[in-house]
Amino acid sequence: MARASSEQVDPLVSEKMRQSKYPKRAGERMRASAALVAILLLVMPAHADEALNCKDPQDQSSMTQCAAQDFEKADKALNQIWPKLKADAQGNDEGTGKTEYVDALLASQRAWLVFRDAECAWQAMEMHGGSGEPMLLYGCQARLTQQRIKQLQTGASE
Amino acid sequence: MKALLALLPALVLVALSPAAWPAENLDCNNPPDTASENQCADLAFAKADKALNEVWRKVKDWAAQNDKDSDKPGAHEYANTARAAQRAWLAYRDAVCREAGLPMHGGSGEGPLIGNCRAYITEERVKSLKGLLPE
Repeated sequence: MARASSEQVDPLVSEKMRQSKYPKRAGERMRASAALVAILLLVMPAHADEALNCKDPQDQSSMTQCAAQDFEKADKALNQIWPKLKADAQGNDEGTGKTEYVDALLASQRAWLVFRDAECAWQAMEMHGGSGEPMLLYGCQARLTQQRIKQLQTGASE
Repeated sequence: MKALLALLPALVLVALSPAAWPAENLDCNNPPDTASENQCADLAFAKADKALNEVWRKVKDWAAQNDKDSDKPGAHEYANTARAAQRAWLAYRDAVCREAGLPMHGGSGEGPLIGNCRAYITEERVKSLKGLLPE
């Protein structure tokens, strides 16, 4: 069931980092959008499971829900590969007496989060203040998260 | 003529410096040494950066036009948010590529790793910005 997923996700990659490191407003915005995902997932499933067809969503609310699901899924996948990435970085640091790899991984992930939000705020500007804005936001966040996963898995110099 | 003769030593020096003839002698599919790798990475990045500057100019104009055309002036901030996104992307690129250079950190191989990373990430950015622009 999708409703528990926002609690299951390892907070390190997204929420915790953001809250510790970034200006309050960004954190609030993210918390608000996380809350919106949670609310959507809690409120909708009663009838959505049978009614929601993400191959061909028919109205704004379904489109937003589908985009939110895409993002949830991508975010979960990112959180799933994170422990291995961190373990690899720790392995590379082992015996050096330094934490260069871990630091660099955390730094690039933080920079990516800031980029993701700035980029998606821009990409959603077209529907700013309208009912379609969350859909564009989730769609963009899902897309960028999928790209980030790919980049983390293949390396950045392919 | 005299002036030209006076310049001759300088011209000879320029012609002899490796930077003046990278294209013919450089095999970037299979660079033989670190110096060539470095040059190839620089070339790849310069090319990607040029493409980025071109597409960015279009994005900027498009965003400014959108702001101008907005029926609710000030409600949409295309230019500001585009600039913020691009600035955040730059910081991301540098962070990712610093990370990419770590395996050769402090060595002569670090430059090519970082350069190739910056070229690759920039190419991806160019693709993505092109996709955002209207046809």
